[in-house]
Amino acid sequence: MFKKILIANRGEIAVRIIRTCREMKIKSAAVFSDVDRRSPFVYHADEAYALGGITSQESYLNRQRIIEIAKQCGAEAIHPGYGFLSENAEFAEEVQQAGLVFIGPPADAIRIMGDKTEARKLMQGSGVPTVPGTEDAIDDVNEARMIAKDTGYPILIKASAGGGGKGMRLVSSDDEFVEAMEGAAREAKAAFGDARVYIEKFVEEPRHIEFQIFADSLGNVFHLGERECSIQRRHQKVIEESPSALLDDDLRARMGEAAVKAAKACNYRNAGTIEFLVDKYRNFYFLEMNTRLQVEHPVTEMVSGYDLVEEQIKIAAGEKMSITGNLQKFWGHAVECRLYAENPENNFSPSPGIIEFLKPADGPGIREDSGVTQGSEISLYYDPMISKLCAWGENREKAISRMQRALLEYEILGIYTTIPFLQKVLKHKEFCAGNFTTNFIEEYKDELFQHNQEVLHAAGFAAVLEKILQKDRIQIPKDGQGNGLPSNWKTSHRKNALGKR
Amino acid sequence: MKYFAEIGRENLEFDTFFVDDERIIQQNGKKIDFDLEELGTGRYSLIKNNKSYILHLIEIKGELYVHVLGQFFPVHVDDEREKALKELVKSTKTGPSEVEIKAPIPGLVVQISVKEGDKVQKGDALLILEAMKMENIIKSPGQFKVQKISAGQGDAVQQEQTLVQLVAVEE
Repeated sequence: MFKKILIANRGEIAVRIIRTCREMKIKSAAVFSDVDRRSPFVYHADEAYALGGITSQESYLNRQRIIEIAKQCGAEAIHPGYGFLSENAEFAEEVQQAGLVFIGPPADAIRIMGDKTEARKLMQGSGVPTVPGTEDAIDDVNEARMIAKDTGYPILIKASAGGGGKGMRLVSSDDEFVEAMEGAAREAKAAFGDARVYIEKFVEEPRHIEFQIFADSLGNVFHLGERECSIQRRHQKVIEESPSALLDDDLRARMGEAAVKAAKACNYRNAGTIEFLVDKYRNFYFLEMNTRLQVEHPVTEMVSGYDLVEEQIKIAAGEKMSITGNLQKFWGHAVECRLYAENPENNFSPSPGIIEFLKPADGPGIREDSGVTQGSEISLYYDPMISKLCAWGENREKAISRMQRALLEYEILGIYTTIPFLQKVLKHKEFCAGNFTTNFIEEYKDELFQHNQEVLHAAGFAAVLEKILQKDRIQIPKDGQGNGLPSNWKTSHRKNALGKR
Repeated sequence: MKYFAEIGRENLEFDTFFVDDERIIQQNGKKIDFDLEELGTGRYSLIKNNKSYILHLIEIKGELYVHVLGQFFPVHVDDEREKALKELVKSTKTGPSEVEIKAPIPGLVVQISVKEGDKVQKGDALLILEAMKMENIIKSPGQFKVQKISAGQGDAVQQEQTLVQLVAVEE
């Protein structure tokens, strides 16, 4: 086993990896940017090395510098976490060339899964279902129409050079096709100078469901069940859970099998995630593979009992993983909420600032993976995610109730967070019933951004009391009662309470 | 004394007064039963009509923020004097040549801080009005010259009674 691991990341995931290292009696070495000098991951690590710089480019993406530090400090392996260099095939290669171990998949697997078209072709060749449609861009209307018919309506026409919804059309039947195709081509030509389009099956009422897989160097590939990640905004996951309320044993077995096939097809090793879209007819399609540890891995840990980071390290060290088969039975249910330093009322705009007070939630069934502490400054340089709060329960209902309770207990002051928004999602009837798609937030936005009247009134009242209290403090000496009593109304209130007895 | 809280696009109004030595706070004519316990570091335990809240109050760049049950609000609180003054400032924004400073509440003039002919800047204290055992500093809403002082120290004045007349300073 490794004696020392360098962690090429920051924030909560760096803390997460340090924790497992410590539990495995492995020394951890953190690297940090100038901005992160005071971050918890720096002082929780056994060793810490300054990367210098402020921006990601200057610090956590500085491949050469990171490898240099790893070699100098005597680390045998580098854990990239998620984001930053975790899915950078060149970095994985460079680490290897430097005589170190990259705790992640082989560079080739990162490369092929990072190329959408290549990945799609590989999946089709391996019997993993993908969203039906054209492989290559097309500009012939008649040919396109034939393909649309084969694919089955409704379909999407997408500009091949596309982006921003330009040159995109949703077509629900054959008689609308020609007009839509001509319109899309015209728009694409005007916007991108390229009239070619793709035809793709429109996935109705999509849900985003992903499978955690693990592959070791001995040829074992197993899955640890699914995570439901449909609650998203701007294609970013907000709430994840395991298991999914949608899957039954049969669909789970079929999707799990496809996930294992996908991993085998790219000669995968280490932890990975196969993302699928599931439509309202319960068809599932390969979306992409994330060749790294996922942000939302804690929910899988809670229902499977495995330490996923430990398994990653074991596999990277060439040891046998503890996972001996596909996960057959979930232990209860787990939900994760991502806490972002953002103001949900202002279109989730980032809320930089200093955390003046912090008292995270705890109690039965609660787990928190946080990268910040009281006094931490949330800068604009990195991801605004500050923490992941997880709740476990023997079933979905219990896990959700616990999460609701935990979000009410959570005290964080000085910055805006997504907590009030999360509270509303968790209380929403359709969320609680398990009826939702990736459009959930858009669909119910009117209900998800309202203030709680009662809380608003309590807050306003408290502010008024604070003002009166301040005035009273100034007033006390003038009243000739300069005895430092906090306020006369408080004492009289007590008197009152006593009198009522 | 009335207090006005502006929070999340809502305007809440509270009325406070004393009965013997107990401070009563009312909202919409209904008495609020409350107990506020300061816990330190800006935290308060508030029991309002037997509902229990943990709140944080914090001042960031001169603005008061309240955090309660995961929600975070900027709150602006004015008492009736400040509110009246603010409205006055608003009305003088256009730059009137003459401003009458009136008593926003009935009270006792405990101190007059200026004399006729003085030049004052925005925010300068003109006089101190005591009401409900509280001192209220009446400030100048802008750059003016004190034209006339119509109240004397120790005078009891009525609401809306003119206290000071200000005129624009000629450049």
